[in-house]
Formats: sequence, C-alpha cells, structure tokens
Amino acid sequence: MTPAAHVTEVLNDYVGIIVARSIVTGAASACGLDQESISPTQVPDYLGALEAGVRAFVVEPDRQHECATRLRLVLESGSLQPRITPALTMMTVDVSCEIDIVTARNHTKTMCNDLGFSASEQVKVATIVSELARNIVLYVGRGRIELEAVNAPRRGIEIRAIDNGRGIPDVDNVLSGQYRSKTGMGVGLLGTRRLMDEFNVETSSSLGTRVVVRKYR
Amino acid sequence: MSNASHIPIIKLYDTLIVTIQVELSDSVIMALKDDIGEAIQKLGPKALIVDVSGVEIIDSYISRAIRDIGLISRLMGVDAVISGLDPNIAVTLIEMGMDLEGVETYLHLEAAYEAINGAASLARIDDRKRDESDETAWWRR
Repeated sequence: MTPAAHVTEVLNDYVGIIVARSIVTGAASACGLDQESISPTQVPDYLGALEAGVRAFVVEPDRQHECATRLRLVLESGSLQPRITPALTMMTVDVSCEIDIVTARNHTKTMCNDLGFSASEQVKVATIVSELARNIVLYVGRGRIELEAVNAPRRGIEIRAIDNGRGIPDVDNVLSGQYRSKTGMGVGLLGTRRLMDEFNVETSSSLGTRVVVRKYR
Repeated sequence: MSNASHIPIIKLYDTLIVTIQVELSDSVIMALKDDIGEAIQKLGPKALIVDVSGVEIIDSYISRAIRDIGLISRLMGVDAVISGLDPNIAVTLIEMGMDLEGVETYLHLEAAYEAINGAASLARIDDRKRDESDETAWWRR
C-alpha cells in the first residue's frame, strides 16, 4: 500500500471516502510533491496540509486531534494504525423518564461489548440495567445508573442503581418470590439476582435504594 | 424523535402483521397495544403475528406488554402469535424466570404465517362442512 492509500484509509473514518480522496490530492498538490513517493523530509509539510484539510471537514477538536495523531503515525511508520478509542471504564446515566431507560441499556450494551462480553451476556446485562432503570422511573421518578468496569476478582462490570426514594417496602418478601406487583417489579428484582453473579440491595425509607450488581466475564 | 416512532400494522389477507424493528420504549409499546386493538376492531382479521426479530432487549415490562398484546387479541377472538424471538433474549427471559406464557411462539415470521394459515384454512373447511350439514338438515325438515 502506498502512503497515499494509507492516508486515505485513515481519513475515510472521519470524512468519508470522497472527501478523503480530495484532501489527499489537494494536500499533495499544495506541497508540490508526488503522493506516491514521499520522502521523510516532506512528511511535516504534507501532514500540515492534510490537517488543514481535516479541519475544514471535522468540527470536533477531539476527532481532529485523533485523526492528526493517526495520520502522523501512518506517515512516520508507513503502516496503518488501529483506531485509537480508549474504552470507557466508568459512566453515569441520569434516569428520570422512559427514554433514559433506553439510553441506559444502550450504553450498557456498548460498554459490555468493549469489555469483551459475549453477545448473550451483553443481552443479560442490558436487560438487568433496563429493569433497574425502570424501577427507578416507575417507583421513584428519578435516580441514576452507574456503570463501571471492574478487574478484580475477575474482569467484569458493576452496575449501581441509586435513588433517593422511599425505599422498597418489604424487600425480603420481594426477593423471596412471594410478591408480584402488577407492573412486574417482583420478577424484575428477583430476575436481576438470578442473572447476575453478585447482587446487593440496600434500601431504607429515609435514604432511598441502592442496588449494586456485578457480572463477570 | 423516538417519541414519534410508531410501529406500523400491516394487513395481509386475513392476517395482521406487526414487525417491531425499532428500539422499544415504553410509550412505543403502549401505543402499539392500543393501535392493535383498534386495527382488530376495524379490520376484523383472523390472526395477528407480532414479529420481534428486530428487538434487542426484552425486560420484564416489555415481555409483559407483548404477552398482553397476545392475550388481548385472543380475547377479541383473534389468533395471536409471536415470532422471531432472539435466542439470547429467550435465554435471558427463562433465566430471569419469565416467559410469554399463554401466547404461542414461532421461530420466525414464515413459520408463524404458515401455522396460522394452515389452521385458518382448516377452520374454513370445517365451516363449509357445517354449512352443508345445516343445509341437509334443512332439506330433511
């Protein structure tokens, strides 16, 4: 692969292939060089011209920076580098309406995917987050879901569902399977315990409820 | 944007087909419940298939809503079945101790449609036989 092809491939991730090609051609002609054979001394100029082109099409500073870093790596090493996307290890989703339930479970799926969970485990964890978020929306009104990657004792994910409501009355009864609400909460909390590797619930009428669960890979 | 998402109900001869291909929020599925009731009343179908192959997550609330749709339809005299349950969702539902009790499920839309129309055509043959015997009875009288 020629340097120009490498560069085009990187740019393609940010601006699409058509714009990528025109940036590559434009940068080469602006520096007056042959894009098929670029000598190391020409790299800084070429890189500057490419970055200017990127800035015209990419608005977010983060992505501009990421793109520039990759371009430099490509041109200096001559090989295509994998995309740099640091995996998120911690995230909080405020939950106060039903759309937030969807948001929370989507973030969970993405995070579980990044952590290397299998497809079936991703579905399980996302379902649990959906249950916990829904309990908050239905019974308390607002609260938050915290997602955090854990490394010990094994790699996995910890989910904390926290609210300042009036607590779950008779939580032991709910967890024993005796109780079944019309909306299915009994099944939800009980199911959560069944699906997760660790399950802990602290609830009080004054401090609210804090459900902490973990799923390991 | 997601508030506006609305699941279409398609009529195919005597069958209503609903295929859920969007991210299911509570309001979307509640609206669907109402829409299906209305469509059944207006169109008088013999059967209803709810295809959930596009759904990624089904928690206890959504599974209950889907089951309700099936039971409501049946109460209105319509054969209602579910098709296309993702295997990962099926495993999750069972492990959580939930299922779609009371509603028939099929592997995919085609299987559901075939099963229903097999049953419906058999029912039609039965009707015809009954009509004939009624006629005979009338002649004899």
